[in-house]
Amino acid sequence: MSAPAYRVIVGMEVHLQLKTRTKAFCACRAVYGDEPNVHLCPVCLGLPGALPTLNAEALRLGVRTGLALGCTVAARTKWDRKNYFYPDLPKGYQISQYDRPLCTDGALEIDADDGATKRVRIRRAHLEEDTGKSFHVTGTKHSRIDLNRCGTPLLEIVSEPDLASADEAARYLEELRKVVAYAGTSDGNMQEGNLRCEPNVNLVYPNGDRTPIVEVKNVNSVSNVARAIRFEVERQDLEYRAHGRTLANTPRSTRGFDDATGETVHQRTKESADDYRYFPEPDLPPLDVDRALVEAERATLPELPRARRTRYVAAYGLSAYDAGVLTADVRVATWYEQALVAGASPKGVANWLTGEVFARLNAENRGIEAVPFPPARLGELTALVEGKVVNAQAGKQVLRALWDSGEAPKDIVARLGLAQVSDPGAVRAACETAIAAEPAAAAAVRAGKPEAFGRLMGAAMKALKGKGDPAAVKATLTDLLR
Amino acid sequence: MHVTDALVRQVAKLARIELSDAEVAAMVPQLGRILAYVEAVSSIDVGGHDPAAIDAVPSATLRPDVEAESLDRARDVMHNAPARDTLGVFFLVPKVLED
Amino acid sequence: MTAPLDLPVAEMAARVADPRDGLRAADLVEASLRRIAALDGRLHAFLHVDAEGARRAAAELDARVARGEAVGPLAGVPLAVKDNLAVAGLPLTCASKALGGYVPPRDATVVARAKAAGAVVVGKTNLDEFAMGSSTENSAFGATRNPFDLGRVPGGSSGGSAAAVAAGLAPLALGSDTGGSIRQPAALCGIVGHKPTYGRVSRNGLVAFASSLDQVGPFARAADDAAILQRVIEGPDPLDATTRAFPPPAGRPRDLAGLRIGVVEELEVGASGDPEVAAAVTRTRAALVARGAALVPLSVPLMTAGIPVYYVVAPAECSSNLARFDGVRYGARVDAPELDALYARSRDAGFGPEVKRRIVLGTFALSAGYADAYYKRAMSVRGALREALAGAFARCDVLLSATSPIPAFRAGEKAGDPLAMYLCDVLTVTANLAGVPATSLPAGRTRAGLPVGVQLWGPDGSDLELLALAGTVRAATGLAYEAPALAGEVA
Repeated sequence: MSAPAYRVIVGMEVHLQLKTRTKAFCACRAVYGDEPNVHLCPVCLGLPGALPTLNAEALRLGVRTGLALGCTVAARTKWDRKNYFYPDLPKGYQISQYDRPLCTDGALEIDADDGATKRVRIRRAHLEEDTGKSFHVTGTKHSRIDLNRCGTPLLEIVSEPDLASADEAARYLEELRKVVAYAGTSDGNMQEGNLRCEPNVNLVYPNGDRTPIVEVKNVNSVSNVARAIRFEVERQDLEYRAHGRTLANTPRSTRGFDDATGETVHQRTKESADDYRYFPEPDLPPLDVDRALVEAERATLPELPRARRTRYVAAYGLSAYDAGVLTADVRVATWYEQALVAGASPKGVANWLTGEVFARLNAENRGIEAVPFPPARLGELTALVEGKVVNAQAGKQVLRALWDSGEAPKDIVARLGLAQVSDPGAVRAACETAIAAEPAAAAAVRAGKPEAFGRLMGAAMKALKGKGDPAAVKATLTDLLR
Repeated sequence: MHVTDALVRQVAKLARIELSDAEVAAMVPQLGRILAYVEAVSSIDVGGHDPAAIDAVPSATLRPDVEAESLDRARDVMHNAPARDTLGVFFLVPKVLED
Repeated sequence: MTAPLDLPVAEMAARVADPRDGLRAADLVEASLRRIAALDGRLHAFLHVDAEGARRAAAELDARVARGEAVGPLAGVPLAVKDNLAVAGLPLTCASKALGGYVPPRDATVVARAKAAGAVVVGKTNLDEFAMGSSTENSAFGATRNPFDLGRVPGGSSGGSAAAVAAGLAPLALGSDTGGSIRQPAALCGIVGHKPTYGRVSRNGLVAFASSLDQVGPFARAADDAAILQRVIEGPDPLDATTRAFPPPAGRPRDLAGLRIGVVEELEVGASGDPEVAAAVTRTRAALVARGAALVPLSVPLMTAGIPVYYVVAPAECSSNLARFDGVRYGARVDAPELDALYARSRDAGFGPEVKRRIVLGTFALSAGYADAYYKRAMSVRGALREALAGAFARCDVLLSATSPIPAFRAGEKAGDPLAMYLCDVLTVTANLAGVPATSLPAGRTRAGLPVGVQLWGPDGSDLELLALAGTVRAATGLAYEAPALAGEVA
């Protein structure tokens, strides 16, 4: 297959809702999905005479997120007004940051399409206030405006155009969501709207021609982001080959994504969009960001997902897949690490956690915080199985009991008498019993048909009340059947 | 700075004010004179004074993340609304693109 | 015998607060309402008189006094409030059709503080639309007249508040000053008006005109009265991030011996001004020198940049501040089938010509391609001006200049020439640009009987010192507020 005729260039703009109790510039509750227009005050409603006051927690979470993304946090930052008219923007301007953003020069590492590590540079992350929502009821002449969301604190994270495909863009978003969840600064949930994403896409051809940059809006899931980019790439290539549209002769534009068709739809050309007339916000003095605040946040950031994944593979010998599963949610990773006790192998604990424990949680549709026993107990259980004190089957029984009682596993084993039987005499006796009870199977194995072996194993284990050391039983049976 | 009808209309559009022809005609010479007067600003040499050098505040003095009472929707929010839906829950505007 | 409403505020409030004294808040309010009824038909100082609310508030205050409760330093004092400050439950118009019946849900911080100190709001006063103007002729609801000559303007934009106090309708009023809008009407109406240091008084609840220039301040007949209101309203407000604390005055008020009075060459009333105004300033300086003050001649060339810088910065900020008047959540609305038309028609219908002019000018100054040459440049010059003025205060204690180069002009005289109107601000805008406090106080009258004012400027934070000094100046010159003739028509 020949190399593609063009190179894809994607830059991502992400708007993250920060998890504060109140809004960025007023003390109204910042909440998702309540009755329309009930969380409003003169400030976020844009009443005459109202003035903004910055939420300390919004600043802290902005700093924390920036640090988690490897950014430099500005010593001094300031606010600017972005002026435009829209019904979901009560003041007719949005308080944002223009030339001195809170954070700059970060990066997020992802897997490139060729498997190598790619460093996606983050140009800036700045704080701003969210707008309200408008929606239309079909058959009516008016749109309805709900301003509850006005003033919710957002962190706008802008990457350099370092992404080279729809898949890389999707991976970037996934990694960003995980990092933000680890930092604890946002729920980062695209469905709930607390992470919104606008990919900026264009192509470059070997002759140097570039297609005009298109910003795609209204993409509400990671998979849709990938779909939208794929569609855009094809559409832009078509436009270029059919009409010669390039960056030089065609302005930037904005397109909306249509979920139903998977296509992007023209919205407006940027040239005719508002001149935002940015100027420094006179109602908010510039801010000296306390270095102690920055260092406190830096010190309390957990080890981030990618680094943690790498460490799990290197230090614990986990597969990349298992490391990925365990680090997908910081609470699971933390729980896992607390489960690592002396005597239990990290791989073993990982298997028990992602196997039996997850199975039960999934069945009950609950998360790791629903596990009723301390993580160390799982480690103890793993140690017992690996130390051949109980076999795996008994181990599952112990786990069930552990879930109900929270007792120490070794006490459960003693109480239920689940200790594995390894005594050679007892094992031999059980095997002889099994062979005697299953003469046809024994004969089949001796005749060279190994499939019947399982039956004999089952019978021997039954004779040992399920507590036989499987390896010892197998070895003894094999020996006896020779 | 030569002020023209076109410039005034363009700026008025940015400001979302629909000026009548008479208003535009009146404003062109007025703005011209005012701009000529304020043009004096551009010839003043201030030796690279940094407009961003305003007093900053320390981040430690910011508002704590504590909720305060919001406005009553019916009495204080919708009361002044020129156009609202029949239930008094939403503001209404001519149909726009959905966000 | 002085009518109670004409007493010094401290005495008035003390008597109301004293249960043994027969003077009640209700008496003061009735007196105020009676004078308003008699005179305001001709003055048109008020846009809205809240007789019922005032009577209710007065009754409540009197009941608290009767119960022996402590009340504040403004107990029972009738207060007029410029109609760009929110008073909960009363219409807020900014003298514009754009507000279209808007009623604010909460008091402005200054109003809440004045009420908490016992003041009784009697009504909302007229202004130039959205505080843009120097004559109150830009009001959408008719002009206010100067109590000293009904054919002349009271000044602006706080013309209604100034006229109300000058005519004795209320002892105290609140105004706002962005480029001179308290001081100039105070001078034209023969009373005291103070523009505080920027950041000293909360702007929460003041409809913003130019956010980095606006300040709320007091009007009164005497500096002592103004100081009482100033102390009540000032102070950091958690709802206004631009407010800050200022240290209290150190020591006793200065007396005149050794006081260094700066005379800035560029602020002298020139050929285009009125020689009687220049003469009043000269007389005032002489009276102070006679008591030991020293004049310090200064030159601050950047002062001449004041008007050009102001008329870039203020319109730029106002163009953004007035964007919220879009007919969606409140205010005048002209329906249209399409959103941009809704905005454009509603705003065109709501705003008067001066407001539109400034919005267009301001939008232009911020727009792409021009912002560097106009807005950014103006802000640089502003910074330099601020430093230059601070430099002047290193060499003197206060500046003394005229407030307005001319006394009250005839109604309609300047209405057709916006630039001419802007030039009325030449002696006042610099204090707003630099953020320093300034007070206008009465300095006699012209031969035709029109009030003249002089202006004291001080360094950042010297508000209370300036107001105290204004009282000292009055003692030295013997020039004080004098009631206009029409005030004599009613008790």
